[in-house]
Amino acid sequence: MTKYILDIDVEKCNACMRCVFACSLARNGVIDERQSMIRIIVDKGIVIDIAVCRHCDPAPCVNVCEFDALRVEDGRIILDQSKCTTCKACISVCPFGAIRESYGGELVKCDLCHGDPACVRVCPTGAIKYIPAHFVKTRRTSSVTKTIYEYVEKIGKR
Amino acid sequence: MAHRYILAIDYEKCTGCHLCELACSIKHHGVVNPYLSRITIITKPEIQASAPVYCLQCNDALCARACPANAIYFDEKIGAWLIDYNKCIGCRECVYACPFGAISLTVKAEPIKCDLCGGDPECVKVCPHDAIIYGPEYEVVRKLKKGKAVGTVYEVLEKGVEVPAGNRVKDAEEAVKTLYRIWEERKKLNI
Repeated sequence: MTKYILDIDVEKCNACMRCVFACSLARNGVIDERQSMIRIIVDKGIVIDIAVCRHCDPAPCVNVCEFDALRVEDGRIILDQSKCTTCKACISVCPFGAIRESYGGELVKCDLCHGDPACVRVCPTGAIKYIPAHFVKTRRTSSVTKTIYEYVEKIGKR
Repeated sequence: MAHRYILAIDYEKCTGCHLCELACSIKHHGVVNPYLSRITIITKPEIQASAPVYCLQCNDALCARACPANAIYFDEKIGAWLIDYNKCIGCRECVYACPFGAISLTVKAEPIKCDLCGGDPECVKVCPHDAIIYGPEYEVVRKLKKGKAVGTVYEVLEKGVEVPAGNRVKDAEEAVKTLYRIWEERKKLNI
């Protein structure tokens, strides 16, 4: 089955924070940066990363969970609140800091809004896309080959 | 230190026939699907240009640096960066880290990159215009330089640069035969 992923292009992101607010609005009904599952990391005015769950496979958080609270469902990793004991083992093992603790003390993570992410709907520059995994290559390669085409157009047809 | 073997592409010779993509996907996955290829040829018919995108096996590879699980390692024997799928967590950081877009994803979001077919690349054998060169580093660099020099000389003499000297042109049958051979070998592996 084709796996759909959040395809993030950091170069396109202008840190307008719409995805951050949309995430907290969709999940909690409030506009609060600290309750959002997605974070834009800005250093000296440059967007260096968009920290969001990568939905890895095989995921370290799923492997480390002793209570089977994290499960893989349809290519997405979903946290089951009823089984979670908030031992925070998944927080320490995640390389991206995608799982975080909410105000109430329970752990929360991105569940891709069950197939229709709110962050993708509001992104004005197309920095976040929700596309099939094997389409990612096309975008990366096209940005590289642009320079070659420019050169060929400059020197004329062979 | 023994000379490192490298894979290089002469952009001027590439016609954009996509045979290398097919050979690559048959060799690694047993199916004909350009999406599962390690090498990508992006063609633009309007200006008659094609740009091959492939892993350059960087000395200081960004994909290996970005990997949080240290799954990408350098194989000294083959001279290529390989992915250890036992360690890989499928986070796609290497895909975004690569400046060339040489790492792609399968439909199950597994990263795939050029492993030089274990030191015997099939794309080199199938290329009808010998645009893809594989050999020791000094030899490959010399070949690329020679190709450029010959092209310039032909341009000066106004004889065109379509067929520089020493450019062996395989016929289509030979290329198809190579594809069939890889296909047969693939069946024998029984994976």
